[in-house]
Amino acid sequence: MSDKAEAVSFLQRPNEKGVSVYSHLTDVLATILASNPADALGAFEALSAKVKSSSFDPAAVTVPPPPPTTAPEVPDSGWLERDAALLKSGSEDEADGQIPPSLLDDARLLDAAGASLSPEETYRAHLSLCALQRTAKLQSVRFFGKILGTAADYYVAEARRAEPPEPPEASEPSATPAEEYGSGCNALSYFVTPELGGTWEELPSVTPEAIVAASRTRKFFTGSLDADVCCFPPFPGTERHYLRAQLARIAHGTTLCPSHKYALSPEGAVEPADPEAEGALPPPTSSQLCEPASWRHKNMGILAIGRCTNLPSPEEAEADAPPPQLEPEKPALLPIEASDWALVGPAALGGGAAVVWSRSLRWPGAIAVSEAKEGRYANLYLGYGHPVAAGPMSPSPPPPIEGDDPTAEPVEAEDMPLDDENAAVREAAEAALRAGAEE
Amino acid sequence: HLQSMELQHHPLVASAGVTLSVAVRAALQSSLPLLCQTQRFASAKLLGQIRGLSADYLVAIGEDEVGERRYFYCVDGVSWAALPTASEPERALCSRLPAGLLFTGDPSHSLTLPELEDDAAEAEPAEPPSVSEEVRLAVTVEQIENECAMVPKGALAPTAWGGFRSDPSFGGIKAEAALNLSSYVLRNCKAPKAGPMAFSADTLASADSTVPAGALCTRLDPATGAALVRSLLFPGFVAYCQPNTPVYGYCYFGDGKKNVDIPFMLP
Repeated sequence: MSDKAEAVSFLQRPNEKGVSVYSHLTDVLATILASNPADALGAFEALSAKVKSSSFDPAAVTVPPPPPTTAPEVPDSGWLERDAALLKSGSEDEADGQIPPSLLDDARLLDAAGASLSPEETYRAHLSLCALQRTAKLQSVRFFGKILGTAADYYVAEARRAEPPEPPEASEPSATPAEEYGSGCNALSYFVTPELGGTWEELPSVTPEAIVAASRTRKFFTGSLDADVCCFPPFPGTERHYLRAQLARIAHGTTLCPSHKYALSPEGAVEPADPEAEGALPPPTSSQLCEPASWRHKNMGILAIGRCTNLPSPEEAEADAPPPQLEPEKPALLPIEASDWALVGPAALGGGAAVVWSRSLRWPGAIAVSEAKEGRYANLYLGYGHPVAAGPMSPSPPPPIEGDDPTAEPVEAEDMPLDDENAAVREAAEAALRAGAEE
Repeated sequence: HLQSMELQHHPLVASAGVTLSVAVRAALQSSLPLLCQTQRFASAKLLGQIRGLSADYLVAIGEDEVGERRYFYCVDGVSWAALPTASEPERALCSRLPAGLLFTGDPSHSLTLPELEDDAAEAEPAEPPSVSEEVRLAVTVEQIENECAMVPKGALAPTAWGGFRSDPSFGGIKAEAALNLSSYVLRNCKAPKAGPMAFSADTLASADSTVPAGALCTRLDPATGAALVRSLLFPGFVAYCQPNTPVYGYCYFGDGKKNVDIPFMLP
């Protein structure tokens, strides 16, 4: 390196980042002259390191990927046609014996409580319920609410049929038979749809196994009724059975009504209360509605066995057998537990009316609203369909591995005596000879 | 230039179960601009509502021109009170609270934590630590903002002082991209590998890096045309955007609890 030009070209040789010793020294000297430090020589190494770290490194720059252009789910263009058909289908019919849905009235109460869908969605839901009532010939139908899911949501309608539907073909009999249609957990039918303009599908009757299994598991709904519910212990059914079980638990645990509205008939059915009858409660004022005593559960409570009513005791009861321990049934119109509900209100509704609402603390998303002046009330559920968990979920472990039977002692088997064994072999050989001779 | 919810976007999220009564909406129309005026904010927007036993807390965020954000809460929608900034010991205390505890609705309510069993506690036990509901609310709001707050990619531009603000030239994302989680970024989370260009908005973590995968579900609401991203980790959180328009935001309406059972609950 005797030649000066060679030396300069060596110093100017760039490394893989495009920086050479020459350019780096130029930068360092420029930094020193620009910043004019007090002790330039002492700070030289630090300045050099700083200049090195701040140099532009094209390899370290990552160009972000372009935004994706293909969507995993293409938005459905058929929705617009279905929605137009729904809006043209018209509102309630005056068919005999059919009570039209009261969703538009209830929406006023629910909106004052801050718990309703948007006005357009409420209107679409009303039209959809009227269409459902016409097609399925339902006696009365109510908008139950919306169950949110991961891929799609379910709009749920609760209906009362004039005649029970055909029972499904009898599957294998289970330990706890389901309640008949029209009583207990199966008193009402439930219809769901993922889209208000689409078709409503009726959910099957709920079985006690499904209710018991649903209370042990906790899964998000996916939005398709035939999806599997993957949990341990395995759920007896698909998502439609899980959904039906959760709807039964929500309906029987969170449907409330004011205390004075209904009374139990002698047969145990819930009937509108007669204000003239003795023992009838007076209609409450708005401030009285804020007390838990003014609200009642409208439906029967569900027992631990998964039914509303206990099984009838077997007819042939043994004389010395103790009677089975049955959980006491929870009839309809029981007062509510104050610790399960948060009562809020009254909020003004206009015209001297005020609205009081109670929010369920056990099933977040369930709300019951009541208005004192005209005695109206409404219930709605907007949520993911799960109750509040007592603590973090701990799934049940698999059953223990079966061990050896501790009661059975291994016993040595005696060998067959030689003569018997020889006789058996001789017989088998003669039988084979005979069979060979006959062929 | 906040990115949380503007009041007029409320119909876009109503289908996700986000509900505000008309009385509260009317109160917010005047109280949020008033908050801006009195606190000298550039903008104040609603973050959402955290439900309690006897009352719900409305939470708002106010941001001044420099980009400093402050959080406020109120119960009626009219008079706002400032949320304290949570300190590290207070955050640690709140993480020890029992999981299922709801907010009571009274900001001055004080929760006493169960004492830790300390074998070496030979000295007299100090009085059990307590945390007020206000502090707990501040910690919850901070957790939601840090873990959930998301905006469409490209909606944020870097500012001279290191933060981010809404990009005025953002035109919106396409409808096909709006349903894909990689089109959203978490507003307050830095991606683990930030390159030398650390001031770029590309260094924010993408929404599809949320753990567990499947905790965010996207939906296109055909009635309003808005794309909604719902969080299953914080049920009640919704981020929305209207494709091809600069309309976007996020909000939280729920009880403030993180869904710790999510690994079991995902389908």
